[in-house]
Amino acid sequence: MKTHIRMTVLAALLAGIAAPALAVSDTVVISQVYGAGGNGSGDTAAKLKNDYIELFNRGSTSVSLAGWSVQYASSTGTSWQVTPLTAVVLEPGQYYLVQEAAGAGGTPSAVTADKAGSIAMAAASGKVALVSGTTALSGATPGGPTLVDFVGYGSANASEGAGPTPALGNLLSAYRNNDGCDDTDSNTADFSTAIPAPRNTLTEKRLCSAAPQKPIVATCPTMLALAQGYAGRAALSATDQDGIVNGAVISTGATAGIALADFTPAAAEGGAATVNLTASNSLAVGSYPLSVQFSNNQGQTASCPLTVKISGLAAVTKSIPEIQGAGATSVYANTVQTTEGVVTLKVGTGFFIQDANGDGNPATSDGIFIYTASAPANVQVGDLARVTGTVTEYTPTGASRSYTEIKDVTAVAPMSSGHAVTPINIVLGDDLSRVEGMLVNFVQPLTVNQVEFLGERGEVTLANGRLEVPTNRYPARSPEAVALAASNAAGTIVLDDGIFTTPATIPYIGADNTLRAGDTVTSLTGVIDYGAIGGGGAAFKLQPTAAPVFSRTNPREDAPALPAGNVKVASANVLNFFTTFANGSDVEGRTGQGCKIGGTTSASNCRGANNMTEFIRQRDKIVGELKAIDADVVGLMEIQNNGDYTVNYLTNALNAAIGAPVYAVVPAPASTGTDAIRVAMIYKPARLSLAGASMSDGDALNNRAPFAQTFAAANGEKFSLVVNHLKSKGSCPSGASPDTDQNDSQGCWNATRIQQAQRLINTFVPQVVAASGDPDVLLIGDMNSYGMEDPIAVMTGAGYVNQLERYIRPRGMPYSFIFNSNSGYLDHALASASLSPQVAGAAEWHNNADEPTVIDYNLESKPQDLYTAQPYRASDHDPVVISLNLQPKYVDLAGSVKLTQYSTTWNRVTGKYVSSVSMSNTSGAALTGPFQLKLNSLTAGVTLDNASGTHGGAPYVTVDTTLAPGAVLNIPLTFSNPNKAVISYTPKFYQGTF
Amino acid sequence: MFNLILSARRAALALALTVSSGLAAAGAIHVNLDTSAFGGGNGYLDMQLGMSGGPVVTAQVSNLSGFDTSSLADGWGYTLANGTYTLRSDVLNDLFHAVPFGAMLGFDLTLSSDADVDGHVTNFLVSAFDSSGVHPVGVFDPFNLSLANIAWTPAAVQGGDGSIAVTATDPGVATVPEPGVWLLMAAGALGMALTRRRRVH
Repeated sequence: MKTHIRMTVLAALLAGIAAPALAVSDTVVISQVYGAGGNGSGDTAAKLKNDYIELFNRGSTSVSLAGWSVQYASSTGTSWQVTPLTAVVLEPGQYYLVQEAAGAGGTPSAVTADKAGSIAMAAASGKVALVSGTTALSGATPGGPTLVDFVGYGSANASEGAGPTPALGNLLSAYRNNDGCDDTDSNTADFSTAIPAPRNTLTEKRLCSAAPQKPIVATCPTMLALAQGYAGRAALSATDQDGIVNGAVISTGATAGIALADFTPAAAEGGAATVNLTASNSLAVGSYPLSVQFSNNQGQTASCPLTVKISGLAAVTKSIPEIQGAGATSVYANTVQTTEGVVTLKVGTGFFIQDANGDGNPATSDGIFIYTASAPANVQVGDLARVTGTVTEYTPTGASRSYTEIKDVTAVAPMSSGHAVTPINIVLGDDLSRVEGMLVNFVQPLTVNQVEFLGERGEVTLANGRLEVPTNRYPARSPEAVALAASNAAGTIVLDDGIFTTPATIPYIGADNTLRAGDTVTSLTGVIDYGAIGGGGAAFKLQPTAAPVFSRTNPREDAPALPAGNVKVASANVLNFFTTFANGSDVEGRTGQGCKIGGTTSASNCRGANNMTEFIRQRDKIVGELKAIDADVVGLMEIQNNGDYTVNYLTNALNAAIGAPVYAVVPAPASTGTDAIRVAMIYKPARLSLAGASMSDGDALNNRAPFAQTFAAANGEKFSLVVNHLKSKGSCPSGASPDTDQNDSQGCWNATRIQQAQRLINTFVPQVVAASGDPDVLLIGDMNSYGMEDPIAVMTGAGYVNQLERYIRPRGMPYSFIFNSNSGYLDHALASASLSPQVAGAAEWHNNADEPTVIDYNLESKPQDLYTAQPYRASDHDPVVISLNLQPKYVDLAGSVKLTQYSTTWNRVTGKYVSSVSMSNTSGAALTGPFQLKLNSLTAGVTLDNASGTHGGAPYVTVDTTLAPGAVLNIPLTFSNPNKAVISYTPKFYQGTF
Repeated sequence: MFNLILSARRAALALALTVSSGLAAAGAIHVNLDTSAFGGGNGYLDMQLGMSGGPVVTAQVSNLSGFDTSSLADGWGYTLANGTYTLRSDVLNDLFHAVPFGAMLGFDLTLSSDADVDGHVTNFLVSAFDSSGVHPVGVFDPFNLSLANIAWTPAAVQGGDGSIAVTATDPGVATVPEPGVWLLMAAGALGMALTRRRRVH
């Protein structure tokens, strides 16, 4: 889905670039170049005062730099300036810093230069050489035996390999990758740019032969704010992925009354060491800046600075209920207040306090959020804390209301510990604004409604049962739809994880590494928060104080289940299945490829996998899904629009997974539209045969042309399948138009979708029916319209029967997609009036919509990779499966009945000739009419007076009845026989209609 | 479909005939028609053999009693030889014979055909009309005007036996199997009884 485009500067490749010849050592290299020291002003000014050239010994033996020099020439220059080096022996892994000219701004680096030169280097582009001598080089592209290393940067006209490094800047130096270890003799490949940070001979050595050591990562608050006379403490911790943190000291700013206590070293590599910074009640008012340094068993250290701030204890000015008030906003907004409450929960950006006694008024919340930007240091859950800060009404982006909180906190004073607050019981549907910031307990189980942001944000939307898209159930603009929209909006809460960034470990995910929409959760106790949510907007959120308990009440199904028929049809949106990747490569390993939209081909048009690795993961899920569905014909949406290449690839992969060439591709029709994606069809030739050519509607209204194919089943019966992918609801048009979101729950582009539906019904399908000569038509696909929306009403209004409403609604809500925590179906199955009686069943396989996005094929934006090749979250849409029981319109009942043909006699009164045929049901089962008695080979000149019609030139009589086993049906016949001929005929008896 | 209006004795007879399994490829019955309910005067007895697409069926009408021999028979498609009228199912036929009403009319009827596997049933219809020749009399089937509908079902296999079933609409109709038929039926019944006794052991 994600398209990460790597922009490459190609200009350099186009210029004529010369490569210098190199000799001597390949172990000492130029590891960093910076030319903008002291340049610029304002925000973009250089921080460092001097240019510099950094060297590095990437080898395993020491190298003397005695008699060597670094030299510089401008980007196209031919004359070289020289800075001789000191007679130092550079040990393996050691850096060497050559400082060059200073600029007007910036400050000298704290990293002391090993040699100070005075060359004024260009900021963006230039050439730098390391030479095993001090004689100036010559020419634009110098060579010779003394040249040790060469770096062209920016637009330099000489470099090693394919081209120079990227251009540098005031805040960018060129770094040799992997700490200086990489050297493939290609400046463009070996260097990247980053914030300048010079290293010298005193810098910790980096042995290229050893894997780099991971640093210690310390986690410390920046401030420990306490009230004078009250002791307090802050929790600090540090980890090291490849080391054991085993020490902590106050390295600077140590003072009486401030100490480290309770140090616990990490138990193992990757473990956390913890320590408390304690401040005594004897400290005088003031600020005490200090630094705590952690150390490990690898000789590494990491420090964190923090300040202990002691203030005079302020008196409480307002209680929490007073600040909250009964109104929508606080009357004390934008005033500084001091209040007091018990800490109920600490979260990533602050903490919640609650007045333990409250004011007894349910209209006023007893809790409030204290925003401290980072996790608060000096309070613990259960502390009674006195907080001074500014009362504010926080309105998250896209929110329709605000949330009262305290920010710009100047003092947090823990007064005492060991307090508890009893949560109040609530149910979803209560007015949550009255309990914002309070500790609550949901007494009813709630249902998971969305897990799209489980991985990215640790969020799960909860509601009473599954919420339905209003227009999935009721026509747009109807009072019922409006009412459902309102109740849906009021009936959700987002279960969060107390972290406001991507969690390191995906929360709440359970058995089989999933949490499915439709699962239920109990033991929901936490604090009512309000803030931004995944997908935009804001919502009330529950920050839990205890682990919620989830139940897998919506288990996975191995495959969709539906009644058997003689043809199984599926509709599957395969979520941008592309064999050309966003990185410009393709499934055959070619590079520089692209995807086509209209007349433009570009890798940025490729919407699917970013690369081969993602593609294989995507392919395996999709193949698994299609294999499990095992349909006789599948309509596919969102497959790359590159002829039949991609659908052929998918079909081959599917056949390989099955182990036999079961599926074939329906050849692409005349038009597959102008979008990057198309619709396609695959089918089982052993089960269906193509009847006539494929057809499409390439009208400009459809950038993804509808695709039709008529099939014949094994019994010869035909039907036509039309695969659709109507215009999406997203990517709204600019400016007001009929396609603008009308806020009627149908989203954008509804007017276009209505036109597409009308054109389908009124123009394209009639063409298909005329070509096939058969009125049996099944419309499937991603209509981008929920069940009762206007475009679907166009189809049902024309006599098409919605099979999902027919077969799924009686058992529960039909849905194939979840958006904004509401479920509905965009994926449809609508049968023509003549086909509908032959539809045996329809089902949705909820293998995708209910599953968390984080288990999909994508590699990016994932805290943990829980991918498996199982067909769950193979796409964002659930597939739809339809069972057809295609029957002839009529069947010969010769094997089911015994016919008795009575002779024909003359009625002297009427002048007519009369006869009869009787049918005895010998089938052992009831036969249901209508029945047709047809008289073949009736004597010429004889007319059957009581004929219901003729079929194939022969008269027939229709009788609509039910024939029980053993029952006899007698059908009298009356003939006109003007020629007085001997009457004979051959009776045939059929079930059905002609 | 067909109304059977018979006395108890006649019903027993008709039933015996209908279920008979031992008739020869030719079946013969004697038909009596009590015309006392038709009023006095003259009229006509109409007999026809239906047309059918199966094997040709032949109907022979003989030993006419009570018929008005002074009036010629009318109709078409039949032959008369030695006092026996012959009608064929592959020829459009009608035997329209003058009769005096009020007395008992009778005749022998023999139906025969080859075997047939296609379920054709050929009907020999007996109707009566008043002296105008256009108004049916008696209790008749309104569909085909028959007082008696004598249906011939050919043998299902070559060499097998056909069967006759009589549907009498008029209460004056009585049919009696010919003596030979009775004997055959008795023999068949005895054989069935023996077969059943043997199966006991």
